[in-house]
Amino acid sequence: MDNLLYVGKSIPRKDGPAKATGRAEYTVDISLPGTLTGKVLRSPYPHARILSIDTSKAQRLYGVKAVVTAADSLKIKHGFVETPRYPADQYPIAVDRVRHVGEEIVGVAAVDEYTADEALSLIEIEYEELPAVFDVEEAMKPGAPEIHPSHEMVNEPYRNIGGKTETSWGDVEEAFAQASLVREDKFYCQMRTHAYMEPQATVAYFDYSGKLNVWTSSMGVFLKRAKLARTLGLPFGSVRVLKTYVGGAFGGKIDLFNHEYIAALLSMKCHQPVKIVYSREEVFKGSRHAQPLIVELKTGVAKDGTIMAQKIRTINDSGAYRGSGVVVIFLAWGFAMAPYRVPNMQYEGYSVYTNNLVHCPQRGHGAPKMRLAAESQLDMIAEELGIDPVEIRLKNARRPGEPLPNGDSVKNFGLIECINEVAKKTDFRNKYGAGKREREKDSKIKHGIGMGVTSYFGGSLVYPNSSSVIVKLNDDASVSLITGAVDLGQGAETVLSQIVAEELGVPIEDVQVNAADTETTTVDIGSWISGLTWVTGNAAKKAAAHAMKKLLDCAAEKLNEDVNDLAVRNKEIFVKHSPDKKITYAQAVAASIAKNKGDSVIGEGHFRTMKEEPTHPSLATAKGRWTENYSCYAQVAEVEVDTETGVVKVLKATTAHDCGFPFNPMLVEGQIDGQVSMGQGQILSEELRIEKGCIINPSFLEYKIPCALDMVDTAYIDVITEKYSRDHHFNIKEVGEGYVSGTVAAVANAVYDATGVRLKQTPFSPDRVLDGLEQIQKKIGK
Amino acid sequence: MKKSQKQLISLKINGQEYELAIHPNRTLLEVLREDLTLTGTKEGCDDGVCGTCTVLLNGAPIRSCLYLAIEAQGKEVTTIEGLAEGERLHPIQQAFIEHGAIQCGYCSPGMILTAKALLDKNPTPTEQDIKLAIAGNFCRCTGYNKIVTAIKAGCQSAEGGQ
Amino acid sequence: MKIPYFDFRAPSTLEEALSIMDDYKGGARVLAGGTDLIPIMKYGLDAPDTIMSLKKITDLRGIKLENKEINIGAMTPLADLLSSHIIKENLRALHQAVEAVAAPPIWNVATIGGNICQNSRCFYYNQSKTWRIERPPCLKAGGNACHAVPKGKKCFSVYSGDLAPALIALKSSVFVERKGRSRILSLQNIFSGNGTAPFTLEKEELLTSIIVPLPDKGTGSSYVKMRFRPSVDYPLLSVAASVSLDGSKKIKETTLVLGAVGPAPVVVAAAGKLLRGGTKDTVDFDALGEILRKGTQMVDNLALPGSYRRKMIPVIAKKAIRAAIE
Repeated sequence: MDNLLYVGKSIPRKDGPAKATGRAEYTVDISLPGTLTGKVLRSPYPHARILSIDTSKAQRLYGVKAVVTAADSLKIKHGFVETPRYPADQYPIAVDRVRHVGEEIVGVAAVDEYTADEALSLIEIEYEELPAVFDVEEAMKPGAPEIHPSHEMVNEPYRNIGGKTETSWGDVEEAFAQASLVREDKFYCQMRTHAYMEPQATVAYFDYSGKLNVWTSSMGVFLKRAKLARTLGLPFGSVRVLKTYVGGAFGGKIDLFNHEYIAALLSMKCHQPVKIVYSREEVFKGSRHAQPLIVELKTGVAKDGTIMAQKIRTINDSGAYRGSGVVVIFLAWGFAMAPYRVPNMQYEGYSVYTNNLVHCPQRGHGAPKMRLAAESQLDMIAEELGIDPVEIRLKNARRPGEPLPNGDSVKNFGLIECINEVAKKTDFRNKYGAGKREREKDSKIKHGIGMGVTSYFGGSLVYPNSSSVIVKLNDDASVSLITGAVDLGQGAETVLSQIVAEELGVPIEDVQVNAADTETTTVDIGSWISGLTWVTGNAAKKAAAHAMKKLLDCAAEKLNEDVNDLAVRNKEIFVKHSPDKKITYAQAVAASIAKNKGDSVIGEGHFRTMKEEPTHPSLATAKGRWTENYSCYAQVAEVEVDTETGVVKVLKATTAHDCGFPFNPMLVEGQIDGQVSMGQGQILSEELRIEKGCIINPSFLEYKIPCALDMVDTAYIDVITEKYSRDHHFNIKEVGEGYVSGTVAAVANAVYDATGVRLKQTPFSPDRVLDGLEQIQKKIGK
Repeated sequence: MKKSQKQLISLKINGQEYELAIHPNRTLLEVLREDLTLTGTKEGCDDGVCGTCTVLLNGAPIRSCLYLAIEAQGKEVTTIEGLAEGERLHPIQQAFIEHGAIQCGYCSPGMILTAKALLDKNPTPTEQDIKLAIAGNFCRCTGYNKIVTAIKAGCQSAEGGQ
Repeated sequence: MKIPYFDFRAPSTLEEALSIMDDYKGGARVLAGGTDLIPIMKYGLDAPDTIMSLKKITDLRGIKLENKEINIGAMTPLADLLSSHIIKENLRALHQAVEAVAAPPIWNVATIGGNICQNSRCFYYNQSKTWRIERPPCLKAGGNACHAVPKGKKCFSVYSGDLAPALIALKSSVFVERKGRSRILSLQNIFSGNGTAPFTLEKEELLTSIIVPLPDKGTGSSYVKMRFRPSVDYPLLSVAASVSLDGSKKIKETTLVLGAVGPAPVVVAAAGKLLRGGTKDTVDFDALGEILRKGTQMVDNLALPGSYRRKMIPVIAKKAIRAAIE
């Protein structure tokens, strides 16, 4: 990877100046003349039939320009997943039934917020309350209130099953019979949320030419367009989703949100721009949060700690509609089998409806929960067998080239090196057990160290994940990079610019990015599913190479040389053995245009993983390959526990990661830091508390995300397994999601090391840790 | 709904005087964003907790969502738009960009202003001083690590500049 | 969230302010720093027709030491308290309490008077109008239900101010004025102990200054706050302690105050007797712990369960007392 100018370098992000000066325009900043304030009336009940809606008083209120209900809607359903087996199941505006507190029923657009608020208060709705159920295990029982009929593929007498994933290989019972040690544990993972700093916001303007213009805070403009167009009954070409800066998303801004539909519907009624911005309370109460998950894990190992079999059952609370629940139960088994060798497995996952809010993906989408369970249990097994945690992980870690049960291969998998490196750097083996040794002493403050291992994947076919990029060379050889990718803050535009600048040998300042506009840019799935650098990146690389080839061919002709004898430097194409013979890029562009009678120089590139695979993997049958891109990490957390108060502090987090190679080291480090912080929050302090379907802590004051004084000291170790070369597509692995899970698992194990308290329910709030300590004291007292 | 009388007020924002007729119940945040279209200052929670609405009042960071615009009369308000001078970014803005302290950028205006206020008062803060000063500014993207690094670097370059 | 419309008054003298309060018979809500009142208005918990800001009254600001008394104007911003040498050197508990309030930017506008007079809080009360529509109004909101304690008959909202417990431990008094009349009372006596109306002050009265007697030599004080995160958060529990030692370094007198345990700060009367004659190492903290645990009733209306918070009282009290002795 020598001689690279941009790839692999810590290039400062391109949108840095715009953001640092407050000039970056987020959806909340969009302002068009005549913009109306839109507001949504939400159900106060977790489960009710709507008997009647009377909006007449609201409509007559001075300053109200439009009011919409299901009567104005085509009643076309949408869903995060829309497949034949899992069809769309949610109306974009409630028709005759509401199934969660906060479900959207009426939209109003008025001249200002006061009027909109007053209009909402004038709407009269008659409800018939229905029995509701909030606990996932209760909802499955026969006799539970039915939110939706159970999926037809479910033979068991369970109620409210939105979806099921089943897969198995080998013979688990046989393996358990032969195992030296078998452990069974159950873990409860709480509802956490993204807590992005920019609230949900949408501006919709249906103009008089019949075009719907939408600005919305999202992770993928093309997906939003498709869903909006379908639910509104508009052709795709009549819906334009434009680019805005996005103030964080972390998985919470993918699916179509009902307020986006409602804003559009309102605008279609009054032909004025309508802006809906959630209050922070509304974000907590009305938007989608991450999937609470129950993980039941039974693992059998040989005497030396080698995993022989795993039987796993996951139960997910998908909320009132399917949301992404069926995806998380599908991915969960992948997260179980990717980092370690599991020769025999039986997996079943249920996604269950409850009258809670609909849930969606959040950074890791199940991985943090599965890894918490697997890594905690592995440490417990190691302790019972008298093996150290590093040893047992090395034994089970997959090696490069190993085939996976889903038909993939882990390819260049650096997990063994990650585990060794992080253990070395943190002096793990010497520090481990410190907690136990300190326990003999009387100190109130204990220290502990723990490890968490994860594998994540990127660019997968789980969604049709393909990307197209166009590279345009302007007359002066400056470059326009056209892509549908969305920069959420992870640096997408910078990374893509790095690739194009590298391929074309132009200064990165000469690359201007035009992104994320469904009308003017190329299709891209968006910035979720952790594939941007790899999928869109490779498409960008191809596009740039395509444009470069046109230039080189032209130069070869002009200079009368073989194209293989040419090289580029400083925007000039010269002959390798006679460098004075050269032409500038601009001259080459002109020559190309002249030769092709006016056709400008455009390069196009497309990429999708595993093009020869026929289809995406089936959520229900679990058959089908996922991707060619598996990352892996070993993370170590060092914690301090105050045994008088139960408060846990994460002092240091060290991450050894195989992301292929760091495309932009500064951005990669930023991803690791952010995910360590998110992991810290998930395991220690964050919990969205819901009582009878109602979020009772809908504020930053009571939803405890870490502040600067909670900052964890972070360190990183790069394990390089791939490289970038000009000649063919590059392999790189994700950095956007996986680090949360390793952190969560490592902290859990570190808390055990420090105190002997093994918790199986997150978050590890001080009262739970204290309870655990007291129980240990009682046992000792016995 | 009973309304109040608008009052004519004069605000000094980033060194410039503005005359506005506003109701007393408008917060400084609303007036900045809506009446003056200075949208660099962001709303994150409208509750005084997250700090994205931070502006400087006579050089000290405050939550503009909790401050009535009418009470900002006679005081100097600095927003993020007031930091850069022409094409020259403030050393702290430069440091944030160079050290990867900006990801989604939503917390950045508030964070940068809080950092500026800190360095104006204490040009050589310790890491603990920095973390305390920005403890009231939430960031969900960076984990705060590179923000602290950037602020440390920002004070060095401010010193160097002198 | 929009603040409801109100008429705005901004008197420049205390006299004018007291006149206004008298005229409106308590209908003019006092605005100090705004960090308590403005969120309350945004949540629809209060919608006064008239608001009176005290920001223009410079006489209400300032810290003075004279005649062995430290006199602090009610409108003194917390940032000024922090930079005051008088307070840092003599009133350690107060200094620590200010540092414990919220987060640093709040110190630039919040005032000592406003912090003392903040309304009590509860998970279920401090929610917006739309949230509260989903359930019947609670006792504090003028209804009959308690959502923290089902079928509860009294309000368990928690007084969450940091400064008051510290000031009470320092034996502070407050100067309270209304038009034509003023009085001095011990700070703890402005608290009613009633969650639905936490203060005993009359509607037309204004707290104008805080008077803290200069502690004798050999007296130390401290304030320890337990909160979920190291910044931003209100207390889950706090303890203020003022301890004076006699010539042989034994404890002579103790004032121990618990904060965030109920609708008012609680002075632990028994602490003085229990600790007398002890030293840092000989104090029977376990016995103290028993007394502390018994006297308080904490419910699940803050971020962590009441049972946990009650367990923490002796832990935090020990820290506070030890720190005060030092």
